[in-house]
Amino acid sequence: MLILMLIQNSPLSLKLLTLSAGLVFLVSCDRTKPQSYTIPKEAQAPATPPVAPKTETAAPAAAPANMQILPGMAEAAQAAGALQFQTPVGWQKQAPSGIRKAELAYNGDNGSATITVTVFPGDVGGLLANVNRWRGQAGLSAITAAELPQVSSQRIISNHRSTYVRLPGETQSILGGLLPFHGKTWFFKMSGDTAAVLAQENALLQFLDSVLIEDPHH
Amino acid sequence: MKKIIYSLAALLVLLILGRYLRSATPDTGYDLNSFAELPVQVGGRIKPLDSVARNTLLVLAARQKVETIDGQTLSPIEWFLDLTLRPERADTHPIFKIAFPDDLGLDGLAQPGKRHYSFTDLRPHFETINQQFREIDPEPKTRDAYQRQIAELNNGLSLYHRVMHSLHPIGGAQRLDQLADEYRSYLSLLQPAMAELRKQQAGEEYDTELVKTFLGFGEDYLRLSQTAHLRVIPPPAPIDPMDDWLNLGDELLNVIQTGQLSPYAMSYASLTMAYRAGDATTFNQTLADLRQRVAADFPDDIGRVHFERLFNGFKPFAIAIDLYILVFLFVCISWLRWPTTLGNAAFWILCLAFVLHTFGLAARMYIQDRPPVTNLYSSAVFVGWGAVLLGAFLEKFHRNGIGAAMAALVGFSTLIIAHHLAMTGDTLEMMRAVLDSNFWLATHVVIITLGYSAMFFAGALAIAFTFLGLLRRKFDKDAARSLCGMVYGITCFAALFSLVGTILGGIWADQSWGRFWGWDPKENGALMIVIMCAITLHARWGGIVRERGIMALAILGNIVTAWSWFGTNLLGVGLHSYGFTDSGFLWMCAFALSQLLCIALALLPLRYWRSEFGRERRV
Amino acid sequence: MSALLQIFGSLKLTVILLSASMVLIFFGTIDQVEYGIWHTQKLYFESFVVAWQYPAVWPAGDQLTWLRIPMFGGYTIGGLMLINLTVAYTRRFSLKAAKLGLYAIHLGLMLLIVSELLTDLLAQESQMTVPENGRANYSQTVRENELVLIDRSHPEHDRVHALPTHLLKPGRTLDIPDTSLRARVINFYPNAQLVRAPEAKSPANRGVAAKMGVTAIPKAPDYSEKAINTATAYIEILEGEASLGTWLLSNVLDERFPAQTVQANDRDFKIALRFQRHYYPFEIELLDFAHDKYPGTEIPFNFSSKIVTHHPDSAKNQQALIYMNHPLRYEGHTFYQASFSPDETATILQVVRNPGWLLPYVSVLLMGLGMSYQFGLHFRKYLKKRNTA
Repeated sequence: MLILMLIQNSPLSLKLLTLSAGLVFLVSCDRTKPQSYTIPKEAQAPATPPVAPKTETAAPAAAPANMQILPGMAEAAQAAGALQFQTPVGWQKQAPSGIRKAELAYNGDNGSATITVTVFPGDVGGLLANVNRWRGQAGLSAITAAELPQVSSQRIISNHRSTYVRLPGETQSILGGLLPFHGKTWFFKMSGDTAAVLAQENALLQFLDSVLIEDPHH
Repeated sequence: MKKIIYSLAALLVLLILGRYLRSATPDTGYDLNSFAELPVQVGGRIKPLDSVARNTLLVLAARQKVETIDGQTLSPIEWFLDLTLRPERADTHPIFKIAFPDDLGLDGLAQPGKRHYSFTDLRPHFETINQQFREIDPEPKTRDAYQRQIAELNNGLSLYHRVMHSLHPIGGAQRLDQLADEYRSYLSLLQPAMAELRKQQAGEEYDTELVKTFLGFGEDYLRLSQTAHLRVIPPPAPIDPMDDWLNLGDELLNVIQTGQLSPYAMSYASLTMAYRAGDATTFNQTLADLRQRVAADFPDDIGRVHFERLFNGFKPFAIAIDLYILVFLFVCISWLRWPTTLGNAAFWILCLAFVLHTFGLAARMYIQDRPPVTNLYSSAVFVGWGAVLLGAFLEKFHRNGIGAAMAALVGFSTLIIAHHLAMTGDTLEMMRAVLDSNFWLATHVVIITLGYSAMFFAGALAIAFTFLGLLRRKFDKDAARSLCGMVYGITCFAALFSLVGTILGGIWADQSWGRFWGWDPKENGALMIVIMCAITLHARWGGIVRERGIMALAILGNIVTAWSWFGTNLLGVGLHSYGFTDSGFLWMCAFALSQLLCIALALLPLRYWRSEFGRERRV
Repeated sequence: MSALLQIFGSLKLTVILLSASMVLIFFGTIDQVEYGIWHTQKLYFESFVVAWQYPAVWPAGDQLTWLRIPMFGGYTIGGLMLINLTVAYTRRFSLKAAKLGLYAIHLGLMLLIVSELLTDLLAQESQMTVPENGRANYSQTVRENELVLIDRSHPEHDRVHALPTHLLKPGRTLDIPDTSLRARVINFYPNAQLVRAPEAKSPANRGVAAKMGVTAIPKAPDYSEKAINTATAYIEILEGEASLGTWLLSNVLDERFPAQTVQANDRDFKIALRFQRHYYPFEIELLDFAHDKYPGTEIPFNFSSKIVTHHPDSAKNQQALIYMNHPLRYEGHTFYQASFSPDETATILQVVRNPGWLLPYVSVLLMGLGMSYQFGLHFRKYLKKRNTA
């Protein structure tokens, strides 16, 4: 009613209304509709191996030559930096053992999973080598650097930038963060049955958010 | 009478200037000024050690001086000298500000009336502090006062420890006394030790003692590289300004690869030894050599670093704060007696304060090589500057004191806010890439901030109107009309600047990520200011409000502007966090309440208005 | 009639609308804490009415959550403002030099409201990931999903048949465009969690779900800025009246998982639910990605992508450096430097298609000129008055 009046009364408003009507029309054309189209042939994603190999695939993690590491310093690195974190609900804290700075365990209806925290000096061969080592453990084939963004994203752990990696495998999966921290690399890894790992991703993220690595005091 | 008043005003100004300008550094025999100008790479730019000393002290002690236990007062650089070269003495200086020591539950720490504690005082409690810190809320924005205090203390201790070990390795007094010798023996050990290590790796027989000593150094320096806070060692010449400097530990580790220790590291070791031995001559000589090297390596930066040190000591904003108080007092008195003389004095003092304020602003621009507004701190300084500029301009034409008084009020308040914002550390920090555009910083940010200035100034004038109208008998219809005209004019000004600034922001956003308008809190805040202006202007044009209504709207503008400026920063920490526990939130609320009170006063029925304006309006 | 027009053209209405918009913006800002920026925008600014609810985390939240403040949404206020302005100006218009600025400002404002509406409705934003020395010909948006059947039988090219997920209402049967197949939506969850529960009864009888015993548990969608929702659906594919099976599809079941395949009468289709993709008739190749930090810090200083476009019409090929505040406008799309992969070997470009991108520029030009003009007039008057006084 009002619209009609306006159209009768003013040429300017008439224009405007036509414009908005045109808009609505345009929109109804544009909002995504069912459609089909042709695209250039896409490369098939590499087929994943059906079963996770029992043995670890050869880890390409040999320390590169330019890594600043002296014999004896690995122990020094081990001694440095206390770790603080909060244990997520449903998880049990295990005693740290050997090279593991922390270990958490989960046992649920959908399987079991563990979170381990380890630290090594240097970059342990770089992100790609580490991701591929984990992929091997999850029964997935190695990827190239170009494919890294598909499995990784950035995340802040202990106020530092880290890489968060998602590697869901058929039966075994690994999710976790890799954190370069003052010349060392911290690995926060959740591994276990795929269902349990995927279901506990939020717990892992909470855990990562709670992690605080300290520089040694006096 | 006139002469007496002017001389008195001049005397007061001189007293204030004198208080700040008298020589701050006492003569100790050591060339403190040269030491204060030694360069360090922090936050992406080269700064004098003086700035680091001041910022660290601000964070730890919330002030820029140290009172030692034997009653001495130390300047920041003297304290820094102790901290980095004579830590055993620095540990006894009470510099950790703890507002509520009783609340910490640290047995035997709290002493009545004592607000500052030394590292030695706190040493027995490290374990407890650390444990308490681990139990508090990990999200800083949602911590309560107690948790914040624990976090501040814990972080402060860690900062203290890390800054301390910027110039020397972690170790006792004996080690520092022989620091240069230690480096020399480390260097001489390098070649033979590497040869022995190679033998070890090849499975041959090797000198275990030598390798052990060498690895001892290595482990020590690795620890240092993780601790040392400051990057004090520039890369070898020729130096690219985009290169990373190293901290001392990294430099000492680097020696394993380069075989060369930077002369900077060696000089710092010599300085340490000379200072500890009380040998001022060697200290000054080493310093002179080091300064020469700096001048040769950084010909482009040396002037700027020198200027920054001078600027740190000059404190134009602090002087301006005192002068603004003086202006306000003069104007208040001028309304009771000697209106012309005191008004003139106030105007000229305001101009002096404005010059200082401008100098501070320009100096920061020169040091940082940026437009004036780069962060919250500088926006506070700039908001004040803009308001004072407007106020001085109005005062020049109207000469009724109102412009000067309100300019002083806004200038004072914003500088006080800036002073408190400075407590978090460096106010000349670098910006993220998306903000790194001098063009947009110089246009969008500056114009938006000028809009804030105008809004606050209009609000301040409206508050003045309210109080004058309520209390001052002499305030008549003409005065009211003139003041109302000012508020209207300034609101127009605010509307222009806010709108243009907001539009430029939209263009910037469109250039940066293709979205002209994204409805994010900061954008919305700016838009609210524009709308506030539009409401005021349209309400006036439509005759919907008269003088008092316009004043109420202008004061409401204060709340809207404060929200846009600070309030939106409280949000956006992530989902479901409103920043209630942030101390800024309380101040926001207090400010909003005070302004609501002023609005209520502005809307009081006319029978309470004691001014002539009120009486005339009543009939 | 004229009384009505008077109301609609009145300054009072202007002030009321301005006040309403301020209230709307205020609550629309506050509520971003609750719903994230993206969802709040839909709730408050791209709607006709909205009600703000007292947040549960505020003081006394458990007793006060019943408190709601209803208000007009952005569309209502924007529309009424347009009407208000139009009526006011058509009724009171007169060409006076003193008012030229005001006309320009308000015309600009009308244009801005229209352009914002246009952007809401027409603009598309998506991200394109290009690896270094690699090419990309599509971008995707993680906010929208699509159900696709891909016919890979042709040796030269693939054919994609896509249905946007906003059509996937449980119980509906939809024609899959250009095929003889239909999709019946058994269930659709905007966000879900996939778990392995082999013993649970799943509607799916084909593909990953059937093989690995994966089932979906619906979850409330997460609206926060960075969150990505796991859109998941159970889809039955029909050919004629015959069922070809039911699949569990989800955007987390992506290329890392074995492809799920529908075997129709004459050909096979790869079936998937994925982030909505936009394919382009050209390819973008990343030659080099550079990322600088301020020396001695982790603060980014600059990042830039050196790219070259590959168009079937080779005359349109061009090389460009995309960096902060310097987007590439190409073939009706604008490419912005948005982000990069953690190892800095791939760049992420924001791709925006906004046919109305010039409108705000025109409108702000009008407003800026108008304001400067009007302000200049006032200021001159003020100075004149001061000088004569």
